[in-house]
Amino acid sequence: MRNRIILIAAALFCSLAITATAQQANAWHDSTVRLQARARLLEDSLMTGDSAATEVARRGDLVIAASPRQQSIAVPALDSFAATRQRWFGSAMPSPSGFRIAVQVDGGGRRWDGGTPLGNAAVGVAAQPIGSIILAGLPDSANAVRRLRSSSAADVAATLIDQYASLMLASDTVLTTWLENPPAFSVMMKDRRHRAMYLFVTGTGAMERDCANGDVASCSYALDLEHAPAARTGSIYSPDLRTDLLYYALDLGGAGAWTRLRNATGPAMPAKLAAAAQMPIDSLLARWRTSLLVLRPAKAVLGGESALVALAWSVVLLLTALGASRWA
Amino acid sequence: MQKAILRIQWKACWHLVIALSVAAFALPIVSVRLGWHAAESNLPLFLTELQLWGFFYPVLAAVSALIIALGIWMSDRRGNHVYALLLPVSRARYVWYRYSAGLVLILPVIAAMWIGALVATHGLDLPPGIRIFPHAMAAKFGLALLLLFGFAFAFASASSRTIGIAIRVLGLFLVVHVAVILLAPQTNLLWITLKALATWPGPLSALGGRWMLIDA
Repeated sequence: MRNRIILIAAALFCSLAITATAQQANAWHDSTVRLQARARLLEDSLMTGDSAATEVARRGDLVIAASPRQQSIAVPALDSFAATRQRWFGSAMPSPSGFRIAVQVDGGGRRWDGGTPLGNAAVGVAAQPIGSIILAGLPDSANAVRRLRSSSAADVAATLIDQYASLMLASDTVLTTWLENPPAFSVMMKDRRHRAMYLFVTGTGAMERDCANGDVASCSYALDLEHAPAARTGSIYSPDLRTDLLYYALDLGGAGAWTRLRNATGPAMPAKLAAAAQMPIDSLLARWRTSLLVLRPAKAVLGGESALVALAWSVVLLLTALGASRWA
Repeated sequence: MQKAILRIQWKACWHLVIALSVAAFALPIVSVRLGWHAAESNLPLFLTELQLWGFFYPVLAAVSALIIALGIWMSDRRGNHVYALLLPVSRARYVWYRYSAGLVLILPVIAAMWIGALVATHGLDLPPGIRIFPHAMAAKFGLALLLLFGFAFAFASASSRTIGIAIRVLGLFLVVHVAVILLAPQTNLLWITLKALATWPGPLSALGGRWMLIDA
């Protein structure tokens, strides 16, 4: 009986000891997570020079933090960012660890990178940082890709999507090599198709001319999707036009286009574009070419309505002259 | 009488018409040929330059209209319209003769611009996506010239009293505009009026839009 009591007491003691160890381990784990979070905040505050940023809003796997004065612009910026990201990239991340984009918001004063129009001496007052906004894509672990940029308050949303798009394009080496030096996303999207149309029709190289004439193989060479045969050398289309083709394919492919592009089998760019658009590359190029050519000005120089209006006003002016000429 | 008035107007204005026709002929040629050497390597820049040159077409139309209309009425204004009042025709018919003779005088300018546009665009090695518009440009230039000639003709044919009233109305409008700006800075009557004149269906809408001899 006594032995049994001792045994039970020992078992109880052991179980308490195990519980205590587990509690300690959980506490250690929580502490580590807290420390990691604080370290990231510290790192962000060092990056932006602002330690007052706190979480403002979440949208799915996106979290935005802002310093007190920037909280009113952070939520609309997040909504705008989330909508644009969903439209072009779905819910994809530039890395499995997520991403983090820190924006130093300034007062919108003069900003320059190096020289000035008056020479190398800096003239004027530099834009002073007035706060920061930090956008994170979860899980936002220690290996998340990071960017730091400066922006005026009005351009925060554009800066966030520019940096995100840049991270997304940089996440695929085949894409990076093909696009060379793509324009910023917000610049690209501003009148993107119209500018692309002008770049397309003003290509003067032999392959570019053949592409505009409807030769899809030449389009493939001119867009650097395939290496042209030695006999067919000449200039190729600019990165701007290649970027337009990429976004055209993403647009055509709809939901999941970016994921399909990333997961396309084979390293070649045509396979990626075809997977994104869900159609053979020849069909994609033919549709892209047609979509650009239809953007050419339909009215050209003179519209019928304008001509009729001009004639009508000429008659009105003549009648005015006939009535206004009472000299005596 | 129509022929006599045309002959008088031609004698008074032939040197002006020839000078304007030379300018109209040269404008498309100069605008295209000046930048064409660089176009082979940078066609977008060439088109941008051509767009800037497009500004000169409505300016040339305005200058031509003003010069021809003032030239037509110069002798009448100098003689206080006595000659016109002595003729056995109604005022309206006399003004119509002057107007139709003026239309004949602006025709060489339009034709010169058309021929110049054809010469300028002939033989250019353009990419397949680029189009040329010599006929449309000549038609647009002609319409703009007709319209502006109508304005200038109406102004030049008016009596001194009518012109005086028009100037007073314009002055009154500017005074009202300034007063409104002072009371309500967000309301700009002058801008609203100019916008109404320059956009469809305003009388100056034909002057806007694209003045591109070569375009996508």
